[in-house]
Amino acid sequence: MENKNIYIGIFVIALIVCVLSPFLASGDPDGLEASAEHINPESLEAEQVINPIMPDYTIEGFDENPLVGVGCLIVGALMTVALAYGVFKVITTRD
Amino acid sequence: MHIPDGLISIPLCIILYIIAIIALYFSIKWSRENLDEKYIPLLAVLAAGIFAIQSFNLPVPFGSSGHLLGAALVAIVFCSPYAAIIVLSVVLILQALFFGDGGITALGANIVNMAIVGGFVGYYGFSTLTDKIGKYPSIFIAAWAGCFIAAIVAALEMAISGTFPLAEGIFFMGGYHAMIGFIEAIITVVIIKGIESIRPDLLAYNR
Repeated sequence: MENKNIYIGIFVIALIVCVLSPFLASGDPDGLEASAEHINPESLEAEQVINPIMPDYTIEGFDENPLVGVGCLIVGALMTVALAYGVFKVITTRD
Repeated sequence: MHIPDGLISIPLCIILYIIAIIALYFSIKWSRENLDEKYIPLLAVLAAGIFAIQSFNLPVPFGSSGHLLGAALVAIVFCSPYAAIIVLSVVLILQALFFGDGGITALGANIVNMAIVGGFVGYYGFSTLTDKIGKYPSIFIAAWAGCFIAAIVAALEMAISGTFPLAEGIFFMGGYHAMIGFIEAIITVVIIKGIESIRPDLLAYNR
């Protein structure tokens, strides 16, 4: 398989995961939250320092709509591919 | 395993930021010497894949869930922990800034645990074991250990911060992530087996 097709293939798999995740991913607390719930539940109440625009991969007020979650994840995947590309481009460019 | 704000004390947050920055410096140095432009697209799409798959929590027993970290995966594909440290850091920075997944004060801690510990344990676990027990068993164990040891390090950070008592922290964090590590191990083996069957030359240990 050609390089270009491999890259497209991996990115398409990433996008498919983004589409499925809001519908299928487990809503149970992750390992850290579950541990905190047993040991020190108040620690999870702490005020967060910044207010991100897409908290918990959704938009405030639309958090019941999984399609908004899909949109946020796709935006995130595009941001990730762009930032990682840029970072490695800068690193590997020799002057 | 993304630690939010408020669980790690500020002095420790600062120390972990410094460790993360030092590790990133060495990772950039390694990448500059060992990677060339042809790997950029692969690294970029792998980063997007890890971002996506980290949103996909799978259930584990006793009411918890977890997802792939991906540090062992990238470290094994590139045969170095350093590529994994940069890829995971890109993902963790975006998650903290835009998605509230991991606190901004805990970003250094999250980079240390998931990118650095995950990457080093993943790579050195694989490279140490592969001649003794074979490729896929060593990938399985290294990926499992990367997740498990990252969780133990997180428990130590929370103990130093006074958030979790040491024994309880290690018991719960270790217990949950021993199970979550199986998700990490299975998915890592499946992805590397997939790459091996389509394009074995993309795996650094085949070059």
